[in-house]
Amino acid sequence: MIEEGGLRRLAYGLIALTLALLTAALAGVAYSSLHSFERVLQPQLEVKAQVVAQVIGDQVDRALDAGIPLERLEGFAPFADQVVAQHPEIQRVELRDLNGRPLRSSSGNAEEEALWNDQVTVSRQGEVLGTLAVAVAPTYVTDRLRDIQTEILAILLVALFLTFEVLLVVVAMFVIEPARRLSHLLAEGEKGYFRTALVRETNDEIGRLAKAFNELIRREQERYARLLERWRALGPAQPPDLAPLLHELKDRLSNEEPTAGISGNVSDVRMPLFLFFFATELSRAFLPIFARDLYQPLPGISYEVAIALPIALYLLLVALLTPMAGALAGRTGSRRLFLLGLVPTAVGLLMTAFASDLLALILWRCVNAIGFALTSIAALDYIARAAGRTRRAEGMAIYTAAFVTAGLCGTSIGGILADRLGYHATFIIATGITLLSAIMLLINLRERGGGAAGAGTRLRLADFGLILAHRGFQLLIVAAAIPTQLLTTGYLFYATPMLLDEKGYSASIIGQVMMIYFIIMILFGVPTARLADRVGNYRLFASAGLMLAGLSALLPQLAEGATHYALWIGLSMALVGLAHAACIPAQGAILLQEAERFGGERRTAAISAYRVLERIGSVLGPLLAATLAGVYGYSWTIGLLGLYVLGCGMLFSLVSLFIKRTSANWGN
Amino acid sequence: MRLSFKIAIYMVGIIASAVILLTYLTNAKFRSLQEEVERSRFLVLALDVKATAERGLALGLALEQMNNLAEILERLHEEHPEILSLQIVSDRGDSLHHVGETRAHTGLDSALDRLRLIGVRDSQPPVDISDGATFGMMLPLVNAFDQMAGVLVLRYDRAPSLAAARDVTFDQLKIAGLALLLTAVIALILTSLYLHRLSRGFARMARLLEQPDERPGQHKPADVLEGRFAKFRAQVHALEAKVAKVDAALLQADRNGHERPPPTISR
Repeated sequence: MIEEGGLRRLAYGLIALTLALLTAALAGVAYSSLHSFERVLQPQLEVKAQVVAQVIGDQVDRALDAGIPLERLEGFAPFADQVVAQHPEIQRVELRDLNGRPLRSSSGNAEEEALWNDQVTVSRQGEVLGTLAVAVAPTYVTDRLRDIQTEILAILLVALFLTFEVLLVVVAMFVIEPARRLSHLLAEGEKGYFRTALVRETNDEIGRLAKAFNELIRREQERYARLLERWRALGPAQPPDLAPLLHELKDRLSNEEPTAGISGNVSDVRMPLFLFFFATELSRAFLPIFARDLYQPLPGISYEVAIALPIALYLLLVALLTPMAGALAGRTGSRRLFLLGLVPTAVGLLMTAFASDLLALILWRCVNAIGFALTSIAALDYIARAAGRTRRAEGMAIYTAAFVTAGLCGTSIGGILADRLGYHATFIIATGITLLSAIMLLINLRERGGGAAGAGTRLRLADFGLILAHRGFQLLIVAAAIPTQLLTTGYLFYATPMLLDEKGYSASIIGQVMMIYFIIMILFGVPTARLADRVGNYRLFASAGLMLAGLSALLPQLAEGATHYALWIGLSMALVGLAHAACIPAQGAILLQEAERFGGERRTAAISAYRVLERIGSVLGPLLAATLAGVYGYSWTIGLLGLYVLGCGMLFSLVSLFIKRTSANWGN
Repeated sequence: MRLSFKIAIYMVGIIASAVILLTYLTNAKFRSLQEEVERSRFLVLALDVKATAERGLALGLALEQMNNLAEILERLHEEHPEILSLQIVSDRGDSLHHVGETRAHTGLDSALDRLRLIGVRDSQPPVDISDGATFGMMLPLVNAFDQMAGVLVLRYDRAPSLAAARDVTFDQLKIAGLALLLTAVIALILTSLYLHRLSRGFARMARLLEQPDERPGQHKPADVLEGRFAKFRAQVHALEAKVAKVDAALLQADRNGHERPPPTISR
């Protein structure tokens, strides 16, 4: 009826339109604001130039009163240079004779455009001998505002990804999904079946069409219901020849409540999920720094480990609670569990805003972790039910896209907000976004009854034993999954903010640097995964990714002392992002291959157990990085983690080559 | 509500979020820059007074003996009306020379304590003693033995700075509001044009669904869509025929079995 590919192209057209309008709006606002600033600041700069001229003039007067001729003030030029160096708004200082001819001046290009201020006279015992002029740099305001250019770029980038995220969901919600349902109804109707009706009747063009369909179907179903009632009322007088006809009508119509023809919309969860991840990611750029600022001595725990605890314990709790949350999802339903999970998330974030010491921060981060475990599993459960078997890949893509895009947006925006408003206010904003997620959830998600397609699998210790006894899994976990997670949390999430903060960079810059990792993951994730599918050698991609990640982590130490150090860290982030784009999907593919050996429920249990075990790396990452940093410093620590990952990559590669050569009986 | 309008709302929402964030950031940057420019202006004056006082200290004079300082403070206060007060305070916290409204300020004592604690050096940056109503700075006055003999306290009015910031903020809000209004109008128009074909398509489908009954073969479908809807309507008619047949049979059965005619199904 309506080509879905055409509708997706429609969505991209709308995205392009939004971006064009966005760029124009931002450019217009930035340009106009700059004019406004110059209008106010320029007079203030001139007043300052006047003050500087008077102070210098007094000094020159003292020298003239001491008998030094105006033309012989040799020390004026170095003194003027000092003034210009101390006051970046001042471009030039000039001593002139009574005819206005320059006698002495600060160094610099005399031909360069300058805004000369009113001159101040210099005199000896009341006799005016010359003038002193001070020029303001005409581009001072523009130059000083230049350092927010990167922030403007970050806002544009975040808005770009937000536009993709929001408009794809909106078009799916308002156009694609209703069109798909209408197409399904039409197809059913062409075959003579009128069993289902659309649930949503919106007040737009599609909604009017949906209403017409719904009314038609409801009308026929009601007629059938009345016929059945009359048939039953006849009792023994029921004509026998009518039974097959009624049966046929029953087959073509249903006596039940009109239900949605297609199971719950997968896209419905995207916005609430994105907002949830966005709220949790806002603190990514500054959490370790926040922990350091709240540090208090904890008995038996070193300083370095103590400040890594809020991150490590959060990840540990998420790892431990996720399997339990899975079992809960089956009982409570995904919508209810999602809402339930948002409560500790909101409470945790709000109380973190008011945390005044490290213990309070750790406590509320743990509460947050409970919410994260519940909510993420609820979302996966909903996706599994709504997507069914045929759209599972699309469902997982929605989950991953929401997570990575939110990571990108949250990290950069969080850094900017922390810089301007402070850490505490940023956590309060995160709480507000969590509540917004809850509202979107209540509007978008339909509750479905408990079913078999849930994401929750009850794990047993035997499942862990199963995979740990298997060599294929051993290699994957020890040489690939754990090192990858360790580098992600140890380098990216812990050491990067600490290192850049140590170098004097603001939370805003830290957020923008960390954002690069997510951008690369988004840009290269799908293409490298497709390439890996085409090449067919997942172990190659996993090894190459690990080794590239390891090498990239050496950059911070190699670039130590370089100018624009943040750029080098950004480059390292980009390369690690590329490496992870290659190796993480490949690890997933290898996991599925290894799990296929078990089959059935054991396969699902093996995957779940693997997912829990790989989090060992993510928990250890910040703790190890913190401990090493206490001895070696952050850049060396990152390098050491890199060497470890590089070694694991080489090990994985060698063993994989061995597997390929022997190939028989592997895993038995 | 039209589809294009609904989608345009989301588009404008995203643009509004970005514009608001940008406006806020640039405004915050402007305020900090403005404060910095103003502060540096008064710092120049304060450093000049400090240099004069330290020249006297280097000659062995005590701060309270330097009468020219009082004249300098008075002159500065007259030349720069934004300066609320200038004070020379001894290292024990006693006011030696002052001009303008000098009020007791708890921040002063703690700032003095801080200076005593950290020690003084040539490149000592001024200590910030601003509060809600005023900006303020404190500079140590150091003798030839690098000992703090006293401090210079300068306070200046926040009001001009706040007024300028308000003006700029108002300007920015006007610009942002205008930009958003323009964007919203353009978004509505362009989205409406862009989705016009889609909307027309759905309207046509609604008409096709509601088309009156026709005999089979009466009208050849113009395209695939019309053909499909014709097929759909034909199935509906076939279903209704079966329902009517059952209805008639039940009516007959009812007449045969009961005296009272049963209710008939009405369209």
